[in-house]
Amino acid sequence: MRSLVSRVAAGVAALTLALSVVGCSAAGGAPANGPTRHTVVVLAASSLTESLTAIAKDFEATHPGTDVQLSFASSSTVVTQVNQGAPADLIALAGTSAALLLDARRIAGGSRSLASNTLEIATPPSNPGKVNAITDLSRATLKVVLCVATAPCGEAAAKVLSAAGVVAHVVSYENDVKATLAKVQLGEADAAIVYHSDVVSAGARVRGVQIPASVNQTLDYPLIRLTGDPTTVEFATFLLSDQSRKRLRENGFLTP
Amino acid sequence: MTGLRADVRLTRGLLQLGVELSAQPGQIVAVLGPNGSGKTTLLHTLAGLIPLQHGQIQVAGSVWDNPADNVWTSPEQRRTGLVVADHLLFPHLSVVDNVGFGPRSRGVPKAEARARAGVELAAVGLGDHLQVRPGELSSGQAQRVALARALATDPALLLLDEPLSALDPTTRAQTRADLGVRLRAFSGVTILVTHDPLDALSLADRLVFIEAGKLVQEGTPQEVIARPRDAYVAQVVGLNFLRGQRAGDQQVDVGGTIVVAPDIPAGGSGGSVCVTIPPSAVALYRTRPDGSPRNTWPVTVSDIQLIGQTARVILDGPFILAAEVTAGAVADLRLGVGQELWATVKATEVSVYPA
Amino acid sequence: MRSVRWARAGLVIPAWVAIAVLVVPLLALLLKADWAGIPAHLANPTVVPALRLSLLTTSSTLVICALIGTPLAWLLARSTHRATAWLRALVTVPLVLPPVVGGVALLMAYGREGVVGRTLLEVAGWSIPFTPVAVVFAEVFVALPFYVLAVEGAMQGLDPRYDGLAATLGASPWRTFRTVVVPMVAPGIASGAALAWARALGEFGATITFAGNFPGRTQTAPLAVYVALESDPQAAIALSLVMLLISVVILGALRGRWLR
Repeated sequence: MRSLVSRVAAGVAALTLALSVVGCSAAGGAPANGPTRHTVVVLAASSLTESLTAIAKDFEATHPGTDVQLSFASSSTVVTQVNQGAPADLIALAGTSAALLLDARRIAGGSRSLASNTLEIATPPSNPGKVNAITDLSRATLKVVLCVATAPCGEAAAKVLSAAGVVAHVVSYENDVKATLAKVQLGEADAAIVYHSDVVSAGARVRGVQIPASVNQTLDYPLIRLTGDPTTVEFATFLLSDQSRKRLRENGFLTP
Repeated sequence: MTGLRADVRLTRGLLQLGVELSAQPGQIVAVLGPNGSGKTTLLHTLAGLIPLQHGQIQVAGSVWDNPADNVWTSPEQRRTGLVVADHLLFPHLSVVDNVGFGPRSRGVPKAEARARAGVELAAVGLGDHLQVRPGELSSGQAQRVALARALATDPALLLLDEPLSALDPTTRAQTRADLGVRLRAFSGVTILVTHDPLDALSLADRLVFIEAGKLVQEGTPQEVIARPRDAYVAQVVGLNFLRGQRAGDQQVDVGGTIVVAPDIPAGGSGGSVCVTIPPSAVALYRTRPDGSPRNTWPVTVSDIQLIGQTARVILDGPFILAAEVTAGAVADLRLGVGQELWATVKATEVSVYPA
Repeated sequence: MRSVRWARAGLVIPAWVAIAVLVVPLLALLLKADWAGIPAHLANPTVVPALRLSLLTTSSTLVICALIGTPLAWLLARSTHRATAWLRALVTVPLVLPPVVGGVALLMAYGREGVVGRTLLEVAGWSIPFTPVAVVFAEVFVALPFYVLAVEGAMQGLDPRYDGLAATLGASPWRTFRTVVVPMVAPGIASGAALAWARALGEFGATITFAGNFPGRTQTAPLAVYVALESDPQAAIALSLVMLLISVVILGALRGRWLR
């Protein structure tokens, strides 16, 4: 009775079981509009780490019973994850070009501008590489770190460098802006091109070198809503309020 | 001074080894003793695998180990050959490369090492097995290869650690014979550790007995067979052994019981003597025999072992005795464990000598 | 009879689930690949340098692991010192350490401000991070424990009396190691090498943290896959398939000869 056939059948059953379990959790991306939920899942660009964390705390304090779950990554990673079905209610990206790759079917509400950011050069406090201007970045003895070209900060940095006519002596392309900044904070890199907001949040741990406005890029941060439940809408509105904008400006962002 | 002169003293865990051993080149010395007596430890100190704590080891005129004078020769520099019970041939090398390993390690070029190996293998009768892997050899053949490997380095001292104990009885007999032939042709000193009396008696020129790390008796096989000085030694040569005090010209007091024997010598210190009785000289009776047999004792059977047509009966009485009787006698006497009998021994069969 | 069969069925089903867990993702990879477009994707300028760098660094890692790992394994296998257990535990640490943490630790040691790195820079002018050497450092750090533990296990199974015997035959400890120990544990060494190589090939976290990510210099195949995943997923899949193929071929070849 327990022949080869029945053993194969058991195997197929197990396989199907496994596959369906996999399928279930991967199914739809955004949860449907059901009864009122009190959690909001937000995926955001890593440059928003400090500001959104503070804003989420403000929201939870004034809206008891709510839980804002934040996750930060490079904007392109966020878009990839959402396209693959990661559950998220709101996303905030660095730069509008990242949003172009977003699967339009996932969008529930329109895109609003959350804030904007410019680029800045960051060096370790002691400035071992003696970097004082963007043109210094081409020196062959320097260790310069940028974001990967697929990340918004990497794409913008490339544009800035080409506008300034500088070929930077790059030694590494990091996955996101926070990893790029980390290399400078650890003292491994002489300079990196990051967001102005990153230089502000890092405080005394990095030194900033301004990039001339004529060659600098300004990135707009779109806030896109993927679901329509009340708590999400409420948080989205809160993000665009004056109180939140104050938080964003404290962290070096420009707000509309 | 050629040959071996060793004074081995060390403590290892519970074993306190203190043995003096010497041998002439060409001699085969067998070292016997119960398990744990220190035989293998002794061998390992000679090989240089265990350092001495006190004493000295000198071979062929050079001192190999002397802790007091801070003299130490490492095992690879000593001219020793070692053979163990389970051959330990290198499984990844062919027979000829196994045997040539020693010469190669001492810097001999490959071709010459192989040639020397071939000669040694021919000497143990395996000259046509050069390219075989150890895994393809029988146990007897493997042991012969191990011997050839040990001899290929032309050692001054050959050490054999129970070389036949891992072989089945038939192979053992044949390999013992082959071993004997090869050892007699060896010009260095051979130390053979064994617990098999047949190995010792058929191969060795001298026997050395070790118990609990101390030497208890040494001598030629004939000397030892005639006069064991220790219960273990007597057991090895198959004799009943008693210790007693001289109590007259023809009497020995063994723990209160008198044993009669002709011509009792003066005795060792305090008149102590050794008494041996061959098992075959112990006669058994159901009732106390008439006449005046002098050595007659009441005994109880404690064990019977049948070996072919002979039975070995262990008797408990004034002392423990082993008797050898025919299988027929077992039937006649209806021998069984716990049975009470009378044992007699003719005085002329009792051997007494100073302790 | 019947109860035995039921018991066996009880084991078969979880076993099949285990097989599914391992095989389904690999099958999915094969099914979702754009087979027709693979040659074009592989022509992407980052692919070949990444593969070449990976093969180069993992080979170097393997050689280093064998050279320094085999003596360490021998030491651990034969030492009777009480501290050996602690040493073995220490060697195992990179196995349980998250790779990124390993990368941070390597930076703390060999980075510009690092404990060793600072002196290295001052004395010899050498800086290790952001170079292929850093990639090898990261790979050796994560792969060496695999090698050492596998080889030590094999060496412990080796009868210690062989050493003494070889010594009496005239072999120095080095010669004994070379001609007796290593050949006799060769299957264990091959098995350890396969494990170490596979681990090194897949290393990501420590590499990107310590060596960085620069095409052709420090961008190994796993890093290239990760970067490609966001801009060109099909290129990522194509590169993944190539890595899968290389791994399967090499491990398959080793399995036939050395691994049981």
